[in-house]
Amino acid sequence: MKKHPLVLCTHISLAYAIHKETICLPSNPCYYTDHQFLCFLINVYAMKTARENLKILIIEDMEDDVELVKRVLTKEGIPFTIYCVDQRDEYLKGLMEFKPNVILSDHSLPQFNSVEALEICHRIGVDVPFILVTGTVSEEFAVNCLKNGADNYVLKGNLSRLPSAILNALKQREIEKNRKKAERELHKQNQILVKVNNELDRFVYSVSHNLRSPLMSVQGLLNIARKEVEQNSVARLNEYFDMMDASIDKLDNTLKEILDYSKNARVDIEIGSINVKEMLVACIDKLKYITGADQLKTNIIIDGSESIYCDFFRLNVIFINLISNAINYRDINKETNTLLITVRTFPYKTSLTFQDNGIGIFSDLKDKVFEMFYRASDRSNGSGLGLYIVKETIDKLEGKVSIDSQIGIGTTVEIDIPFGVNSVR
Amino acid sequence: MNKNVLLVDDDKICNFITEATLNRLGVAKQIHSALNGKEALDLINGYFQGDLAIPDVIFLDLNMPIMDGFQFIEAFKRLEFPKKENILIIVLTSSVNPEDIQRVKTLGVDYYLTKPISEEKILALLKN
Repeated sequence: MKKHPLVLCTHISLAYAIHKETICLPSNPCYYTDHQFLCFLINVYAMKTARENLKILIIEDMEDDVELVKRVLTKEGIPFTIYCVDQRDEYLKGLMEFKPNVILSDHSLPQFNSVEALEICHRIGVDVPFILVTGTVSEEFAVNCLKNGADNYVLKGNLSRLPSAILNALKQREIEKNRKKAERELHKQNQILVKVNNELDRFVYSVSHNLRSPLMSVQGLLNIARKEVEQNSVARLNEYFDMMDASIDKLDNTLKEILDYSKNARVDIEIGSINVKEMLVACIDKLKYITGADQLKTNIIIDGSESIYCDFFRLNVIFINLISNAINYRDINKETNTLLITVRTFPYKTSLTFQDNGIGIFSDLKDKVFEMFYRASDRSNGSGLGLYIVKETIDKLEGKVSIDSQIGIGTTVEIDIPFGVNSVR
Repeated sequence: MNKNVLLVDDDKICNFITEATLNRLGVAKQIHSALNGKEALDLINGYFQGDLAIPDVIFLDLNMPIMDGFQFIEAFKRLEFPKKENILIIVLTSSVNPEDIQRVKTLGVDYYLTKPISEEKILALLKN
């Protein structure tokens, strides 16, 4: 016989522990047999239900029968409140106002019967156990009752079965309720999956286009170069090579962006000490070879400590994207191109502002620039992922980002992240 | 085949490739380029101020910022000017997506070329 280790304590406190779902692992276990364990669980269940005081609606016209039911329940130690009816209107009122946990119904009353009662129960959506308590009935009748949705039937001659019938019905209902809940959860999860899958489809479509485009440029340039070589004309080959280089760079950039995007989505936040100024200087240095970088004059102002606790990779992604945007969208008609980076650090917050005097964007496109693959300008080799990744990264850090821009004046990006000088958030 | 050509693509390298290919074939008289649909519309409007010759052929990319190829076709259909029906629009894109091909067809454009463009592809098209 199987034995179950249980915590050595009284049934009541265990019942309470089960009720609150806070059972501790046994430090000094005692052992129960299967039968003991089952009895124990039934008791626990009874107590759990009893704690809530069972509200019983009885459809019965014989007062003596109601008394018998009361007696048998009291004997089992089940606390209850009874609401007794023998007519349709009273029954409806009872359902609405008394809000029973269980309905016990005699089969046939002078003005009412169990079939009608059960039907009303279903119609108005009262989802509680319905148990027939009747005199002798035929097997056919009993089966019919169960088919119509009754949970059980108990003969008046064998009322000792009633408490366990009630407890079992309640248990079944709870199992059914949990099953339905799980089903709903599953359905919800499924819907989320469908949505994510659609997004993935769109993502794959756009990415494949962004990857294919520069590749096709390289192939087109190769076609031209080949024809010219065939005719011994090699004067422009270097020009073609440069363009191939540029296309391959573009392809490489898109790939790097996809990696950044994926890393942000998959990898957990890792907090470490970061010197913001050093990181900004390093990012500017890293970008010095892109076209126009030498024309952009960058100023960094730090208000507060230079050192904050944040995620290195994510902060770096944000900086690289915003600084390269300032370079790519600089205004060549202006005498000087500037980027002013202001950092203000607080104990648990850091505010950053990236203000440039670049070409700017139309104010009505302001919110669209954070969308995946949206490009507001044809000025750069951008894939339309840059600001989307910035937004996603800041979202992951539970921060905020906003953009303000005016055509011909410049763009300002403001960021608040809940990471600051102190290490604990 | 001295055609006036308008190239519409946000990728300057693509415009360069198409231009070089057309020049090698010697089929173009004048070639102008625009970086998106809106620039192309502005150029077409400029034709009526007499600056430029009306294009015979427009090579049109689909995925462009500001105004994409689909939006350009829709806007172009709404334009009214003489001999508009003589202008041939050829979609030139790196998209091989059947949905894009169908969408272009629905908009009434029958010529769909996928990149990379080649002399062979252009000759085959111009023969028809």
